[in-house]
Order: sequence, then structure tokens, then C-alpha cells
Amino acid sequence: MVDFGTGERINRFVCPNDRQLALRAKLNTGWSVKTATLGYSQRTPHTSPLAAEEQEAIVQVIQRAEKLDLSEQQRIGKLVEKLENMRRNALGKTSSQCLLCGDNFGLLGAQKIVCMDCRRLACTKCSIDTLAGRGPRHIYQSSPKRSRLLANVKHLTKRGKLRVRKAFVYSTASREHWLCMICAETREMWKKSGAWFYKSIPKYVLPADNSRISRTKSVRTSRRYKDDDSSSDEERRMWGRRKRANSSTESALDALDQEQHNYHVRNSIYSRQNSSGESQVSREMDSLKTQMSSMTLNETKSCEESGNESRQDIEFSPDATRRESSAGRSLSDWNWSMENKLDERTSPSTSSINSSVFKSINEEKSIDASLGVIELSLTYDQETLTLHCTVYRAKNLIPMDMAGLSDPFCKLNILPNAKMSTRLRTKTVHKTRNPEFNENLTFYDISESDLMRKSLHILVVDDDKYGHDYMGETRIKLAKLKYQNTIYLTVPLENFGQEQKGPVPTTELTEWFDDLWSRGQILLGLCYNTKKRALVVSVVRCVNLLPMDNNGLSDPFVKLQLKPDPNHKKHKTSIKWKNLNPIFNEEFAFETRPTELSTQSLYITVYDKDYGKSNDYLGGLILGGTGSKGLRLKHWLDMIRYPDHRHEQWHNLTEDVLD
Amino acid sequence: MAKTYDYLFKLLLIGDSGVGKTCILFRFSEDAFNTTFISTIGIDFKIRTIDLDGKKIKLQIWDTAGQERFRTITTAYYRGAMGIMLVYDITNEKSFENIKNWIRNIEENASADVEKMLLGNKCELEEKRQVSKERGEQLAIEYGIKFIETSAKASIRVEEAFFTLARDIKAKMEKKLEASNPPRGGHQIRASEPQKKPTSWLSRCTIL
Repeated sequence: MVDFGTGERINRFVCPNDRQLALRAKLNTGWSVKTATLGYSQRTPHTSPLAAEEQEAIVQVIQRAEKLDLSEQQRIGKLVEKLENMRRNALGKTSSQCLLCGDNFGLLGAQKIVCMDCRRLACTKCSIDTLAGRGPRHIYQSSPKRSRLLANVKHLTKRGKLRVRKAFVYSTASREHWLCMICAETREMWKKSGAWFYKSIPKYVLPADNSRISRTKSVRTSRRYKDDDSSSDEERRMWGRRKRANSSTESALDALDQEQHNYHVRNSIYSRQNSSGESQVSREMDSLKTQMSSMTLNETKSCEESGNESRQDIEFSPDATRRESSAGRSLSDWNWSMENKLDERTSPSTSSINSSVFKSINEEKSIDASLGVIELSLTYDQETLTLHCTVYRAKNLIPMDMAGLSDPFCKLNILPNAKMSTRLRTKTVHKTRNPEFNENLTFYDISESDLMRKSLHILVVDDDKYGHDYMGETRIKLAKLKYQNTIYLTVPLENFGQEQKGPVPTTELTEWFDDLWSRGQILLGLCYNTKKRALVVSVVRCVNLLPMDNNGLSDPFVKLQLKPDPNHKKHKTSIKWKNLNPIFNEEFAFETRPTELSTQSLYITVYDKDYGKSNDYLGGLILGGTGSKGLRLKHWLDMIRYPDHRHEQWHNLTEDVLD
Repeated sequence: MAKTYDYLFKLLLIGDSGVGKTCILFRFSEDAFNTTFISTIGIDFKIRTIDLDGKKIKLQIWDTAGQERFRTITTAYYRGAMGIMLVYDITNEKSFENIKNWIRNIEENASADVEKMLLGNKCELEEKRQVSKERGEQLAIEYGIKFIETSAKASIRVEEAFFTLARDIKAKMEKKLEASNPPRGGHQIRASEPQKKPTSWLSRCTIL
């Protein structure tokens, strides 16, 4: 076959065109210039490959850079470890204790500080005033309204003892300053590791495993035995992380091998249990098998999906199958370490059965995994009264943003519970519907009587700058842990009916969800009126607004603005005096074209009217636009999709000050 | 890990071939100058730790080849850079005109919040000047970035340039983390204690 050459090259065997001939005539060089070579070299001057020595030089530079990167990763690893140690050593368990040192608050005890990042309580010794040691110039750089307050507080700070008083003063200003040591350290870590720039903590190597990762299990075993109980949990979590960090560099083949081993272990366990012949167990196993088969279906589906998502996920792993296999591998490691741990305590004959009964909690219910499923395991330790909860992953979560992805994290809580400090959360995994959490969270002070009464609530939430959206939840009765130390669960997420419909029924749930909608909610109606060619926004009502005035109430009003808007129209509702649950029922129209709506966004801000000083910000919300997610996105799109229909929806107000 | 440092900033030098990127870096890292022209092969980097407001900042400065044929390699290093120095030669009109293309290159390849800076090098060659200082300033204003005329040979304002860039990056970092937004997306586990709203007016700040 004749090769006609690729598109950009000039075919040498084609006669030069008129233009080339005309140009050549001007050169007065005769016909000796070779058209083809001339054209060729002109078109692609830089395709000349790099010379061997050049390649060598570049490789050397890259190697030098890699060496530096490694030492940097070790450095970050140390920082991460330091922070983890700090977290682990935090003593405070109840709301009357300092989060870090565990000192009781009170008149004679430590003074209370609310950390502005995590909102937990710490004493003055365990927190730092980020304002201290800062020049006044900086203070005035913040918003003009606050600066006055700040300056005042700063003034107090100078006189040693008054400084403590300030902690009791509640105002937006005082919250600006105090950070507990953990959050201060976290910020410092974000600076030092460069995470502030890369928007996540870069790859790191923990000091403990500087040595190359050993593949042989015997080596791991010896390590594991050396560890005491308390650190092994932590380390297991670390291992999971490290594995993720390194998974891309290790061969997929190795991962597959490990996974096979994992299945083998599981199968052997099944057979052992079936042979025991107890009807209870076999029934459970049957239900588990159906669960498993549905899970494999899900898995293949998620594979396909993640294939589609690979554009976003490319940083994590080059292809979906490898991700799945490496995930399976980390699980296998976990199973293995779990067994070893129990070996230390109980006799080997019982341990394997005890530790690895897979159990599904919804034996009776049909499996409805429309909101996705979550995989986790629970371990109860009677000696230390701790409940270890390992969240492995979630699958097929509902999409929240325009690209069909979410930024999920899990919130865990034990309910009912008088104490507030049982709340835990996982980290956020960005841009995925199949997040790998692999995180071990520990609840302290769980007595055996608690197990009978209480249940673990897991809430999956989408992390967003403008509020967290509900993605489903599940409740697990802890009584299941009474009979066996460890349970593995694959639970479908459910929607228990609080689709953010204003106030949540039970008080306890309200409290727990508090930081989801800490600024109150607003009921908004959107309608695009095709006759008027205008977007009609109806502000119906607000609930649970923050009290801002001395009488414990606020004087709220709502401001509306469409951005970008050629008319620059702004609307305001009337002021509802002394009301935290105002009913407005007011409508406003923004003239705009339907084609423009998809690029515009509606800014809704709620303020507290004050005379003699600037209005207090109560909360805000953005609907539409590129950053919009979840319900806010859905509401906006519904409005565009179905004009001349009124769409009403509750939204949470968030504290981010919108401009 | 012999030397400890607080922050690591990654900087990048770009600009046409022969404007003196390598010389600027050589001056900054070794305080020396070499008159012979050796074209950089692909990429190279140098390290210098500086002291800024009591913090030790390790600067990893990437030097790139200006030549077109290394473009694929050099652009790969844009993404990780926290600060980029655009260098032109004040005795070479063409290198100044090309700054526009380099900026487009940054926009396409670098991280969105990268700190940029414009350097007019070889300012000791006043008699051969083709690009006036005003034009340099004008261009910098146009792109909203800082501008400094330097000379690697005469050691004029090279230090100043790097310190300014490092200070700008540091300020950006502090602004990012110390504005009222805590780090997000980290593995922060919040066993959060919700803020109790005070019920008594006594406990409230009463500054009107």
C-alpha cells in the first residue's frame, strides 16, 4: 500500500503548487532547491527528537527532583503524624471539659473558648488567639463593620486578665480569633505542606514506614505483634492511607493477586460457618449471598460509571479496574490484621468465626439501594469501652453537581445521647460518587448498657462551600454488637423523610443536624413567567434565624439580587420586627431572558435590621450558577425547565458572607 | 532533611531563549555569573532557603529552556508552580513581545491562583536598551502583576525580585488560611460542639 503521509506533512511526490513555484522564481536560485525537503523542514521544525545526552541530562534533573520530593514527602509525613498524635491525645469527652487537656470548665476551673474552626470547646491554655501579635493594620483590613469590634477586643487583649473575659463574649468578632491547638496546628500543616495551594494534602510518607513497603506478610505480622492495642488502630488507618498513596505505583497484578487471596479467605469462612449447621447462621448467610450478588452487580455498574468519570478521577488511578482491585486489597489487609489482633486475645479456634461473620442489617427489608450503599465494620471493645467504626467506602451515591458527581463525607453519631461529643466525621472525598474513605473512627465511653439502647446514625453529606446537602442516612442498632465483637456491614442508604423540609421532627436529630443548618432555613418560590419575561422570586418565610439583638430576637429582612444582571436590580423585603421565624410572602420580579438564566445566579441574603450601626448578616444562599449543587441546583434547573410553574423549596442559610 | 524549613515554595522561570533565566537563577542561588551562553537542556532547578518574617522558606526554583523544542517538557512543570517569573531581555524587543504568549501559556497550563511577576533582565546594558522601563511597567499593570528590572550580571535587584515573589506567595497563603475559612477537605474529624447561643443579654457583646 502506498503511504501518502500524514496530514501535516507535504507529500514529496506531489508536484509543487503554483504559489511555491512563483515564490521559487523570485529566489533566483534555479530549480536546485528540493521542494519536498524544504516544505518538510519548514512545516515541522521541532519534531527532531531529543538527543541521547539531552535525555540523559533531563532524566538526571528529574531524579534529583524526585529525591527532593521524597524528602518533602517525609517532612509532610512528620507533620501529619504530629497532628494525628495531637488528635489522638485529645482528652476531652464531654461538653464540660476542654477538648485537649480534659480540664473541667467552671468558675474555678479552666476558661472556655470556642474554636472558630471546629466549634469545639477548649480552655485558654489549649487554644491560641490568632489575633495576638498581629499589627492593627491587619485588623482593619477585615470588613468595616467587624473591624470596630475587633479593635475593641484587641484593646482588651492588651490587658492580661481581661483577655479571659473575652471568651465569654459572644459576637462574630470573638469567634474570629480563637483556635484550639488542633485547628491551629491543622492550619499550620496546610501551610507547611503546601496543601493551601494544591487544595488537598499532598502525597506523604509517614515516618514509621520509611522503609520500602514489604510485600511479604510475615514481615507485617512481626510488626503487628509489636504494636500495642491503642496504636494499632491508628496505624491501621495510616496504612490504609499509605496504601492509597502508593497504589498507583504498585503493579495492578500484585493487587489482583491479593484480592484473590481475600476472596479465598472469605470463602473458607463461609464454608466453615455453613458446616456448623445452625439455621440462624445459614439464613443469614443466604441473605448475605443475595446481598453480595447485588453488590457485585453494583460493582460492575460502578466500574462502568467510573470509566465514564475517569476524566475526573484520573489523578487517583489510571483505570477503574485497578481502583476496584486495590480497594479489595486494602480490605483484605484489614481482615487479616483483624484476625491477628483477635488471636492475641482469644483462642485461635474461636477467633476466626467470631471476627468475620458478615451480616446484613436489613435481612427482612428488600434492598433498595437507590441512594447508594455504604460499607463499614463495627468493633466493640469491652475493656476500654470504645466502639471502633471503620468506614470503608460508599457506592453509587446520588449525584449532586452539574457534572453528575458529589463531594461526600460521612457524619457519625450515637443516638440517643445527651453528650454532644460523640459526633465524628470522615474526611471529604472530592468529585466522586464512589468514595473510598478507609477511615477508622472511635467512639469513647460506650457502656454495654448503651449498646442495648443506642444506635449508630450515619449521615452521608455533600460537602459544599454554601452548605452541606443531605445524601442519605442509615441507622444501625448497636445491640447487634452484644453477641459478637465485630460486624461487617453493607448497608443501603435511606431517606428517613427529612428532605430538608424545614425543622426536623425529633429534637435530638435537630441538634445533631444543627451544624448543617445552623443559620436557619428559608422557603423560596421560583417561577419564570414567560408573559412578563421575568423570574418571579417569592420569599415565603424563614425559620430558626439567629438572634442578633439584645432581646434575643432579630429584625430580619431579605435582600435579593440576580447576578450578572444588566438591569442591576436589587430587591428587599419588608422588615419583620422581633421575629426569628418571619413570614414574608412577598414576590419580586427580575426581568431576564430564559436563555440567560442558566448563566445567572440568584443571591439571597438575610440581614438583621439595626439602627445606628450596620445591619447584621444572618445567612445567605446562592441559587443557580456554576458553583450550585444539590437541592439548590435542582431547584434552579426545575425553574428553567418548567416555566410558568411555581417551585417551592426549603433551603439552608449558610454563614459564608456573600458579596 | 539536613536543613529544616517552614514552607516550601515552588517557583518557575520562563521566557524566551537567551534572556538570562539561568543567569538570574545562578546569581540568586550561587551569587555568581557566567558569561558563556549554555542553553538549558529541558529543565533544571536550584534550591535556596531564605528567611522571611522569621520563617524559613525553601525555594525550589525551576529553570526552563526557552527553546521551542523543549516546550512539552517545560509546560509539564507549570502546574505545580506557586509562583512564575516571566523574564524578558530589555535589549531584545522580540523577547518582550513574546511575554504575551508566555502569559497565555501560563493561563493554559498553570494553576489559576499562581503568583506572577515580570522581570526585565540585562538592565545594565543601558546603551543597548530596546524596551523602555515604562513599557515594561505598562505591560505589568495590564496583567495586574509586579514588575522589576534586574541584572544578573551586575547583580541588580535579583534578590529583591525573588524575595518579593516569595513574600507575595506567603501573603496569599496567609490570606487564604486566615480569612474566616478553615482548611476544607482535609481529614479533619469533627466531633463538633455546636456553638451555644447565649440567652441572656448580659452575655452578649453590646457594642453598638
